Amino acid sequence: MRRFRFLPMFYIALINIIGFLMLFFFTEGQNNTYLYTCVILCGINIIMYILLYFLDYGDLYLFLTVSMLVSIGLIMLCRLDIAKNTSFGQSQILWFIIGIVVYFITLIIFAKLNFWSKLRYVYMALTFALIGLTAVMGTEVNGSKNWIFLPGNISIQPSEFIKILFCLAISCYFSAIPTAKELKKKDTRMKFMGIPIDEIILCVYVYACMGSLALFQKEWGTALLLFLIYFAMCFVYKTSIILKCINLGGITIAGLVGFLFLADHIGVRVTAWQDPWQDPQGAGFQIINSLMAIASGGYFGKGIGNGMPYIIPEAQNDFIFAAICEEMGIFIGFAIIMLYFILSYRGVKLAIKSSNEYTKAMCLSLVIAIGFQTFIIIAGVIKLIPMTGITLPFISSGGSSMMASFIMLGIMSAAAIPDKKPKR
Amino acid sequence: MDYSTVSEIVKYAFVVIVYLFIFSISRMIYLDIADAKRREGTSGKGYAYLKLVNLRRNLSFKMHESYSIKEVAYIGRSKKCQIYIDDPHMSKSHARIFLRDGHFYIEDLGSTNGSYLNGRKLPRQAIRLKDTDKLTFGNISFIFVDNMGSES
Repeated sequence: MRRFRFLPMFYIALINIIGFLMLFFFTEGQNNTYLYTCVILCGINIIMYILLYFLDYGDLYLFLTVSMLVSIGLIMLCRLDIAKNTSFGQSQILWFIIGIVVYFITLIIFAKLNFWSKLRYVYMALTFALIGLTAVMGTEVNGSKNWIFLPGNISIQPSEFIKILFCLAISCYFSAIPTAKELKKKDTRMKFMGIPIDEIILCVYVYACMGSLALFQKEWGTALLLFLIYFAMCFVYKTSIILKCINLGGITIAGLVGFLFLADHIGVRVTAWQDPWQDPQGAGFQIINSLMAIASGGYFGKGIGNGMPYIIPEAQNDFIFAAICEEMGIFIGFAIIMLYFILSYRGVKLAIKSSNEYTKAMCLSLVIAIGFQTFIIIAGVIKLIPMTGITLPFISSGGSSMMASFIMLGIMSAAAIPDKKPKR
Repeated sequence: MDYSTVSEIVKYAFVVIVYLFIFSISRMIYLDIADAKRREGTSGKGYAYLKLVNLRRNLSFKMHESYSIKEVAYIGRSKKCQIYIDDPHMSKSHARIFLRDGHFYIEDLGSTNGSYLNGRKLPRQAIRLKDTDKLTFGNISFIFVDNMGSES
């Protein structure tokens, strides 16, 4: 029997209880749903923790960190619901529960089955199928065509799932790269102009993904994210230097072309980033509101219910970080960034410890995906880089985003389980 | 008291709790309980180990990140010790950790510089160790992690 450490779970329960009690009193005790929500959430978290602890299956720290992030996000979403009379918070709780189920299913599937490294063409075909499907059936929302509306008021954001498939596909290539020791003996790879053929195929695939995402869906944020994952992986695994230079040159030219010739989409965002006060009612409206919200919060925030986070446009999606900073303070903002640090640290550590080459690459690419996604959106909200419309994993409202994040978490946790079968 | 005043006070509690959470989880990751268990291959059974606190690269001599303890472990500068530390501040046979009736005890073996438990100098007789106690010998500090599930 291992000693049971209850402290982190106790803090998560405490945050939920305090947060939802505050919301309950904020509605002057009229809305009992917040009390039920609070009990349900604490229950889910504690059951999950005990389950993971005693089964000793998957990674405990990843789950604890994520459940803290989800708790903070949920409190903010429910608070925004009160002001705006929407129901993002309620549906987010539902998505959290479904997400946990999906997490367990993914965890078991990826831990038990062992053929994932052989499916590289399947992943590639699925990626393009999803991009094509969105291009044909998609609907344009806020200038990006990345939503598929299904009958029954369900909408899916395929770009979230494209991200996972992309990670799985590129891990196939990176895990097949021979190590320096093997290269010393004999390099048997086919080469074209000194660059291995496999790396060229991978490069073409990456650019095809990015190009089709950017052109058909105008989804520049995800395209940027895919490139960053690929480029970071290039540095982790020793790929040829020529290819890295070509990549760097290629992305610079692509960025410049986008800025100069696609003024209505990229140009607007860049000018809004350089000087939002040029057009405070139009292009700069979002970013100005976000900056105002963060500034008015100060160190400890205004307290839940005292601020006005609901005037930030898209406060429940892209700008939730600004909303949290206004009511809970920039210290909670720092804490959120630290939690993502812990998540990434733990993920990288799992990748290092993993025995299987493919699992290693897969875990690493997913960690890089979560890390960069967080960086891109938080940096966009605080006006460090131009704003791109991607979600903050585990915090932003939205079913697709939660699903995709929990699938990623499940795959990462599966890397923590050692291989039962010896490698051939 | 109206709502906004309460909210003003609660927000500080909120920040404190979230940071306490981050602290506790970082500590758990640092002690690395699950990983140590897999490394030792003693799944299911209890185990205990010493975890090094010092940064290894600041030390002029070789050390491991953690040392597992089975029944008894001698700590000292002699190569016969299970936990062998080549620190000039250590005595040849400095201290001893042993298991008795399901509990771990530490005993100083008359070392020149003494051993410290949670900053206090150890007396001659053996003292029972608790989980996450801090042990100091010379310049080296350890955290004692006990997962034997001893109820006390």
